[in-house]
Amino acid sequence: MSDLVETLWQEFGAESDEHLAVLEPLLVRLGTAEGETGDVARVFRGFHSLKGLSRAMSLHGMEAVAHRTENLLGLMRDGGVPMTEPMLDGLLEAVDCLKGLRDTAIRGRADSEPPPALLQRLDALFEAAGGSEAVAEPTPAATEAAPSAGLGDDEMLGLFAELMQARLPELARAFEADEAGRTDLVDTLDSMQHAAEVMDFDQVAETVGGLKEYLAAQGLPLGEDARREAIERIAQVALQARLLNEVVGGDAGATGLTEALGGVLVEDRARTLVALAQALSALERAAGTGEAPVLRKAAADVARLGHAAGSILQCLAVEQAAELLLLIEDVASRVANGETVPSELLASTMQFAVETIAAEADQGRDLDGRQATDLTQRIRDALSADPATGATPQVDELLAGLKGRPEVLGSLSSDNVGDLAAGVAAGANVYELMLFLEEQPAIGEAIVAWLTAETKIISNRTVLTNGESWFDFLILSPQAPEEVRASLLALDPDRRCVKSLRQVGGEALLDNDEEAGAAVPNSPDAASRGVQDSGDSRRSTVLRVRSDVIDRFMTRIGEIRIVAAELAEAAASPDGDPRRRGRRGAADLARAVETELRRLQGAALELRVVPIDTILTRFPRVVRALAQEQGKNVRLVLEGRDVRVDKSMIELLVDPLMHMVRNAIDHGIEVPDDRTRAGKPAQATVTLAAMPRGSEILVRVSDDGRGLNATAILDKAVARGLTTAADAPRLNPHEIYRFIFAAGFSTAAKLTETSGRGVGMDVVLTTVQQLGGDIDVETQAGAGTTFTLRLPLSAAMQASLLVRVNGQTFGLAERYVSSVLEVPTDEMVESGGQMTIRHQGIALPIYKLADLLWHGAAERRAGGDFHNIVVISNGREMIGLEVDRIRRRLELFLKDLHPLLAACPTVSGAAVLGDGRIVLMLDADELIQMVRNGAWRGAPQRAEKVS
Amino acid sequence: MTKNILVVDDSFIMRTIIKDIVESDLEFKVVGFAENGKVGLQKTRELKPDALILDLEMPEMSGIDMLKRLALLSKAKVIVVSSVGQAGSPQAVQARQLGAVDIIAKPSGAMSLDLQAKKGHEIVQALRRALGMEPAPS
Repeated sequence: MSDLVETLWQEFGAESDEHLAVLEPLLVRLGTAEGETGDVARVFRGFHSLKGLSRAMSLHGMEAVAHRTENLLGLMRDGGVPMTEPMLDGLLEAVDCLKGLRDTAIRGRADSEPPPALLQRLDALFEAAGGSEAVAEPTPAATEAAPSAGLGDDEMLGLFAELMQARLPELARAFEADEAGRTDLVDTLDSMQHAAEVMDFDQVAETVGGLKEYLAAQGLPLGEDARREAIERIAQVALQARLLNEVVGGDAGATGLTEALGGVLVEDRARTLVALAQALSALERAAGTGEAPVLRKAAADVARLGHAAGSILQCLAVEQAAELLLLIEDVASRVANGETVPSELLASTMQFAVETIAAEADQGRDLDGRQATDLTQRIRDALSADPATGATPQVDELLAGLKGRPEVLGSLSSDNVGDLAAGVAAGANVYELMLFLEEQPAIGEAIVAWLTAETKIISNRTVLTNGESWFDFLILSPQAPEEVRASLLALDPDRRCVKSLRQVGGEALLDNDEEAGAAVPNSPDAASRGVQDSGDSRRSTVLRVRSDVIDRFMTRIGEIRIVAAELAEAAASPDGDPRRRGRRGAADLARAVETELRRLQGAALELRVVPIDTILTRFPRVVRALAQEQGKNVRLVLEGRDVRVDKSMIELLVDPLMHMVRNAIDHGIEVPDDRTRAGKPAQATVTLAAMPRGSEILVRVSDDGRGLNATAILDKAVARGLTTAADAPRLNPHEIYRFIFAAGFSTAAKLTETSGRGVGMDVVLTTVQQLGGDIDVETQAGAGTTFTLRLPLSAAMQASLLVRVNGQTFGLAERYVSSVLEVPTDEMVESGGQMTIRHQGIALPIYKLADLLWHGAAERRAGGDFHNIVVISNGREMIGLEVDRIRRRLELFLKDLHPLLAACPTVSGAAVLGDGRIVLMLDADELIQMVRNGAWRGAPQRAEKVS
Repeated sequence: MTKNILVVDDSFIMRTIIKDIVESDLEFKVVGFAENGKVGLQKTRELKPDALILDLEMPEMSGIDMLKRLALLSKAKVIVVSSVGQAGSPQAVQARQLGAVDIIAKPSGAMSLDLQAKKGHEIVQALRRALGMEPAPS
């Protein structure tokens, strides 16, 4: 599809997204006491913009919904109608529906119908709120109801028809040589023009107005040319009158006009038909000579006279003859513009037809139906009786094979048959292919591209199927049936577009009824499935950035260019050079470059960040619904809404946060009675707060509910084998609460009711860790719980600790590092083959990182009194890693790994250091897993050794 | 001043091809698309184009039915570009009767990917003629 259309869709996606994101929280706020003045107007504008956007993209389904919501908001804004619960529910449902329609539209690039129940509900709300029906309804649904699409209201139409009926016969006076009559006629035409304008019959107004002005400018009586011109204009009016007849289902003056003109145009008719017959005989002669300019000139005469004669017969309502004359005019004008080359036979056949018309008309008759059909057919036969185009017996056979499909045969031109013959002679196969391309433009385009590249399209035609435009292609391809079939299936595996494929003269290769029949083209869920991927990827490619951010970015780049220029100059002239005096030295310049680059990087990060508000705004609605459902009274407080988060992280944050908020309301918060008994306010508060802290962002989810129940958690942990009854008393509260993040801890719903927490917290932790963050929990019995998420500002930047082992440097993500120790050799205790140290009151197992990475290659460092230990933890387990040296901490910019490296366990990324060396990032979590499973190569191989 | 053109065709591929043809003449601008006659009428009313490129075989409302209404409602000039627009075809005759200024046959069926190559110039000339403009140099 063209870039323009694609851009429009992108814009539509981004803009509708913005409006929809704003609407929901505003609506929820409107439903509470916190609604601000101006909110109603903001919501109104949001819906209004959505309506406009939908209309611009011809998404009438969305438009219908947005239109109704706008009406409802209009009542609130202009009529002071207050927001009620049913209205809020209805509007929220409308927002959901708009989101759904929008997503479907973006995926399929097509309109879809809104649920009628919602439209009815919104209409009912509108009426209940005192809205009047007078509000215009712009959807096609309304025009569909009226058979006379776009033709205004019936009563007006009736009046207009009456006017035409009364006045049209006066048009016959155009041919009178009477000054007063002419003036009257011009007045009549003027009033008709005005009436047509009122009715929005623009074309009628134009025709009538044109006739009025033409006549007003002509002398009395009309000259020959002027008479012909007037007749043609009046014929147009007569045609319009007949079309009006169709629309109003009664007479709109056409009959009266014909009667009035009957006596006036007799002579014109006879004379023009004679002239036309003569022009046709000239055309016949020209066809004989074959000289193109002569031929075209003769054809132009025929077309002109044919048009004149046709106009006269149209005025006189000699309809069969008039239609035959249109056919002649059509053929002649195509000869005149070079599209068709006529045979002598064609010209003489047309001449015969005109003579027949003239003879009948002289008797005051139209052609009868049989005559008309016969003459039309003879002209058509003469048209297609072109010299043979080298058809071969094979093609005849093929065409015979198509005999069962006369419509296919009929769509073939002589050129097509020629192409077919040539192709078959060259050994190509002929296929019939039925395609439906509109619903899946991407697949459609791919198939059409394949057709163009790999096959020769002989012809195709539209086949209307269930109100859709399917295309029946006849194609030539050197490929075998199986190859063609396979190519098409590769392009369209779900058979969204390919409806059937058949080799002409062979079997069906892909059948519409049996295979694709199951996937009805209109099935919406199948449709969305088909393009899910492409649609989504398209959406995520749009990144909206504020213009001042781009400006800062450009400024930084400018600064760097200046420093780079200075650097280049320094490189060209050595320090001793007198020209360099007073300039900055290389070291200064390097620092300047470094500073600017850091700023540039900061600016680039800003390109990727969006306010966390974009997801926080989804919460009020959820909280409202949950609280309603459970009979709880909950206030949601959002803080730090403008804190910015990396765009790639933000969507992934939604689920964990949603989970925690849900848990807080489900389990943490008590029903109002219990709260009152506990001496707390009946209304509970859940706070979602974001705050930046250095290169991190903290997101807190806190509630003032009953808090975590340590005893219940501990019991459960013991039951699940996460700890032992013996160890349990020694655990500190913090360690106990960490259990809720253990995998499989919380699958039992019962416990969550007593403990207050737990559904899938392990999933939450995993997600947060994948983002490079961590999570912490604090709780106080009876006073509430707070979860704190620590997240890096950007997923690509990681604070890392550099360590050295066996002469190589590795990075460890700092979030996994809980401490760094220097342990004297005598504090290392060996127990059961495992080195341990005392750390925070427990025995911490120590592993040599070299052992984990290289089996048996650990380098002995002689005379070391101290061991360098990095304590890492994934939140559940903690181990110590012994390294040769601990170097420094650093912000590393992670790069994508080569797939071969990525396949390597324990390596999670790579970064380039300032000196150009590459550092591999170690995945601390995987190291811990490895140790726990004994799956590292340096692990004591107990089993083997025993045997 | 550029002339505004509305393209009515049931195939998005043809709509794109026709847009490219029409806009190859800098004096024309395609201001809208419609995939059937019904939408076409709506768009005609909204956009008030100077001329339309109209297909005949379409779902919902055919080009002929749309022409009947256009003959009353709109001043826009209509150029029919259709696979059933061959010389002498019944639809071509009817379209001409209903006021189509020109009827151009799609060269290889309803979806004619060779439209630009074979009929592009002709379509532009037809539009220029219909709107009373000087012929474009060929």
